[in-house]
Amino acid sequence: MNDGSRKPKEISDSIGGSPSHIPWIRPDLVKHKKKEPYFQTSDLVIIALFSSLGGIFSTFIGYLANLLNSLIGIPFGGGQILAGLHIFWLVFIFLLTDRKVGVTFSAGVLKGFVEFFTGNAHGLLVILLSSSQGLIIELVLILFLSTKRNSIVAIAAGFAGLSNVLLQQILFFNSQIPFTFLAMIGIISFISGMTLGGIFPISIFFGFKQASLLQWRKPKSISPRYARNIKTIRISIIVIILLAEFSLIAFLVLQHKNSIQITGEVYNPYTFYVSDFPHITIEAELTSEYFPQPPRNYTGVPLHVILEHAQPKFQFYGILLKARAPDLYSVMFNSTVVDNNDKFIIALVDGVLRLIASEYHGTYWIYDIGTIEVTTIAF
Amino acid sequence: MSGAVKISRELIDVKLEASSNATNPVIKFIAIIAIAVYYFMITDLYRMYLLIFAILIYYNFKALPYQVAKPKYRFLIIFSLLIVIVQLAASRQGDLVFFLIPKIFNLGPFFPIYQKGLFYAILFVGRFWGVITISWVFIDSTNPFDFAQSLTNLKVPYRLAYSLSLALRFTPVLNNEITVIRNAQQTRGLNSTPNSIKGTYNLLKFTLFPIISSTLNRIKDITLSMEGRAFGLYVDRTPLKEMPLQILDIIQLFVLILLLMLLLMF
Repeated sequence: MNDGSRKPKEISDSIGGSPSHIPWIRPDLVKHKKKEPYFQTSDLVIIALFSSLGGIFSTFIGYLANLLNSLIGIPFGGGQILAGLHIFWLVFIFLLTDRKVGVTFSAGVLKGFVEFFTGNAHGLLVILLSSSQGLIIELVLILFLSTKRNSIVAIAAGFAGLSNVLLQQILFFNSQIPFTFLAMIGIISFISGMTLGGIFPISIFFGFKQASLLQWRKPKSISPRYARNIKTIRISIIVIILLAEFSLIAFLVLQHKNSIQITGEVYNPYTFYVSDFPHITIEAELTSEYFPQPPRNYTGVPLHVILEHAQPKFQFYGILLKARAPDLYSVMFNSTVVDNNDKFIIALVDGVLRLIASEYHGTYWIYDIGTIEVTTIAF
Repeated sequence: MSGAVKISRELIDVKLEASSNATNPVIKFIAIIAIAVYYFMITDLYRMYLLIFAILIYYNFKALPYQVAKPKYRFLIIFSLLIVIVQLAASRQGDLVFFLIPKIFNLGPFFPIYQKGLFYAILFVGRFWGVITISWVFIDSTNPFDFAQSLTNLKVPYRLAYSLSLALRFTPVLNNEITVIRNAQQTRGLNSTPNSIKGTYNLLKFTLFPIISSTLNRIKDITLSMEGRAFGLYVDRTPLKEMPLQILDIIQLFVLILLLMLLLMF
C-alpha cells in the first residue's frame, strides 16, 4: 500500500472528499465522489425487488385473466377486471419510497424488463405496457400537483389501468370496434386500476407501516437542487400537455368534419365544404348483404361539380376517395364514369360526408370521406 | 505467476474475448425495436409473413424445440384468434368475401366476412407475431446481466443499471420463495395451484402478505449490505466484464436500419 502511510486528511483532499476512514483507497483510481443521489440505495433496492416480484405475479395474474375470459366466453374484456393487479406493485413501490417523483416510471420500466427477460408472452410489448402504466401515474400526479393525497394516487392508478386498453387498441385493433364496447372495457379497467391498483396497495401499505418492518428505513428529505429540478420538470410537463391539447383542438377544428381536401393532379387544390355548392336530390338504393337500405332521396353536391372546381390537369384521370384516418378505406373511380353523371353525389348523411353512388354496390358508398385525390392512373 | 492463477487468468481472457465478439446487447435491443417498428409500419403481408416465418424457423431449429415453447405458442394462438374475431366482426368495408356460416336450408347465411376485415385481421396478427417472435430471439441470445452491464458502458448511471441486475438476480430467488410458501400452504390443505379460479385467487390472497413481508426483510438486508460496501459512493464502478460498444456493432445496426427502410420504400 503505497498510500497507506499518508495521513487521512491528505487522502481526503486528494480524492475529493472520500471518507477518511478508508485509507486504502488509491486516489488515482477514484475520480471524484458522487453527489447525494436522488434515489437512495434503499429506494433502488425497493424498486428492484418489488419490480421483480411484480413481474413474477404478473404471470399468475395472466393465468387468472385467461380463466376469467374463458369463463365469461368473451376473449377480450373479462381479464380487464384484473388490470389493476399489474399496477398494484407500481403504487406499492411509490408508497414505500416516500412518494418520490419518478419512482413509478422507473419501477414500470424495470418491471417491464423483468417480465420481458423472464419470457412474458407479450414480448417486447410488455416493456411498453408496463412503462406506460408508470408514466401515466407520474403524469396524473404531476397534473394534480399532489403526490400526497391518496385519492389522487388511486385516480392515477385508474388512468394507468385505462392505458392498457388504449395501448392495445392502438397497436392491435382499429377504429371499427364499436365505441360503446371500448368504453365499457375502459370503465372496467379504470375501476380495476382504482381499486386493485390504487386503494388495495394503499391499505396494504398502511398495514405494513404499523409493523416494525419499515421502521429501519429513515428517509432523507430531497435536496433543494432536486426539489428545484422537479418543479421545473413539473411546470414543463404541464406546459407541454396544455400546448398539445390546444394543438389537438386546433387540428380538429381545422379538419372540419364537413370538409374534404381535394388534392392530386389538379390546378386548384382546395377544401370542399358541402354548404359552398348547389345541391341536387337523387333517389338511390343501398345494396348490401348486411345493411341494405330501401330507395330514398339523398341531397348533396355532384362529384363532377366538385372535381370541375378543382380543375384536373388531364382529360382522363382516376378519382381516389379516401376515408379519414385511422380507417383509411378508399375507393377509386374512372373519370369517364363520373363526368357529367349526377348519380354520384357527396351528401351529408347523419353528420358524416358520404358518397352516394347510385346503381353501385354498397361497398362503394364510402363514408366519412377525408380526401379526394385526382390521380393520373385511369382504369 | 503460479499455474492455477495462470489458468484462471486465461479462462477470464477467453470469456472476455467471447463476450467482446458477441454483438453488444444494447445494440441488439435497438435492432429488435427497429424491426418491431418495421412490423408496425409495413402493410405488405407477404414481406411481413416471410420475415416472421424465417424467424420462427430459426427460433425452433436454433433456440428451442417446439415442446419447450408450447405454452408461448398457446398464448400467441389465443390472442391471435381474439384479434381475428374482433377485426372480422368490426370491419364491414370492402367486398364481401364469404359468410362464416353459410346458408343452410332457409337459415342464414350469417357472419359476413369483408375484404377489409380480413386484411386487418391478417395484418394485426402479423404485427403481433412479428414483435413476439423477434423478442424470443433476443431473449434466447442475450444474457440479461450483459445487457445491464452494457447499459453502464453506454454511460447510463450504474446505480440504475445495477437495479436491473438486482431485479433479474432476485427473480429466481423470489420465485423460489413463492413456491416454498405455496408448498407450505398446500401441506395445510390450501389449494393454491393456478389452474382454477379458486386456486389462483387463493394464491394471490394468501401468498401476497407473506411474500411482501419476506421481501421487505430481504430489502433491509441487501440495503444495509450495499451501504456497508459504500455502494454508489463514486461516479464509476469497475465491472467484472467489459461490454464495450464496438464500431462493428454500430455498422451492423446501421445496415439493418437501412435495409428495413429500403424494404419499406420498395
